[in-house]
Amino acid sequence: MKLESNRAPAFKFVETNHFVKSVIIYNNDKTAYFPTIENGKKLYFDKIITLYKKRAPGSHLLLCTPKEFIYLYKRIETIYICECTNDISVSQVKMEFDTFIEDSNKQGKFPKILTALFNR
Amino acid sequence: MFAGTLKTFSIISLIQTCHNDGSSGTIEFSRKETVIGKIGFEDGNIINASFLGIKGIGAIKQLILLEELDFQFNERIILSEKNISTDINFILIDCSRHKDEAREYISKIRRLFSIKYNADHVIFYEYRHLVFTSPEIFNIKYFEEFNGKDFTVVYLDKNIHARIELLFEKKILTNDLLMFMKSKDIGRL
Repeated sequence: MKLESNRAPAFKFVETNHFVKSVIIYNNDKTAYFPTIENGKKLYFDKIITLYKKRAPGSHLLLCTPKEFIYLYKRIETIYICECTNDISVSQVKMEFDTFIEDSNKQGKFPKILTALFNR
Repeated sequence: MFAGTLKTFSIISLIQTCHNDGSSGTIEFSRKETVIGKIGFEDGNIINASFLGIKGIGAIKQLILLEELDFQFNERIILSEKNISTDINFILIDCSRHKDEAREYISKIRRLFSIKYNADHVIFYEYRHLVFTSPEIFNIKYFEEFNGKDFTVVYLDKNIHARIELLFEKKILTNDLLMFMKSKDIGRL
């Protein structure tokens, strides 16, 4: 999966869900921030990403602060992080973000399927 | 300069040693070479304490519950900020009492979670995870992690103002756990 293929869905996810402050995606030694975040937070998330590179796929992390929820999910080689406001339930954050991850991965696979069909 | 681990040397003993020696300097408490707490001395009296964003006696009360931190006394580090002016004997008595009460309290919490969720262990959190080391960025009240095998939760207990770690055999719904903590009046977000 190329990181660029996630750019549009991640921005759309941030725009369409009022509770989402930012989405961070790590894949293939590259990290993308949607939208860009302050340097302190970048360093913080980079440390967490380094830690989660070694974790098993399916691992997750949830942090709750008085202001926000931070949810991380590792899917195969890709690490997804969502920073949200806490005016909705944790379960809704997880559900919406898990759906986004699945959808963006399905979208990433479509061109390959179509290419294979056209090449027949 | 002396150094060691809290597994073999208690903070009470450390404070008493510095007090009896009339030391000036700072005890730094670290985990994986990251300093997460400090207690500053001037002529044997405690003048400053900090621990992951907490300052004053509250910081010593947090540190006193931990056993897996390394410590190092450095007489060259003199902290300029004074956030403690309490008599050292009062601090020692207050912190010892807090430690005893916290130990009693965690036994109660252990029973509570064992009955409801069959928790594998319930202990004071020893700050193994780097997510807690930047309280100025994220002041974490609840932490949950699943690594493919273990489901770990760390929450800030409102009654003893300390973080407690829970280890479960299986995943538990976050909302269910948060509601349980709220109903027992122990967690705080």
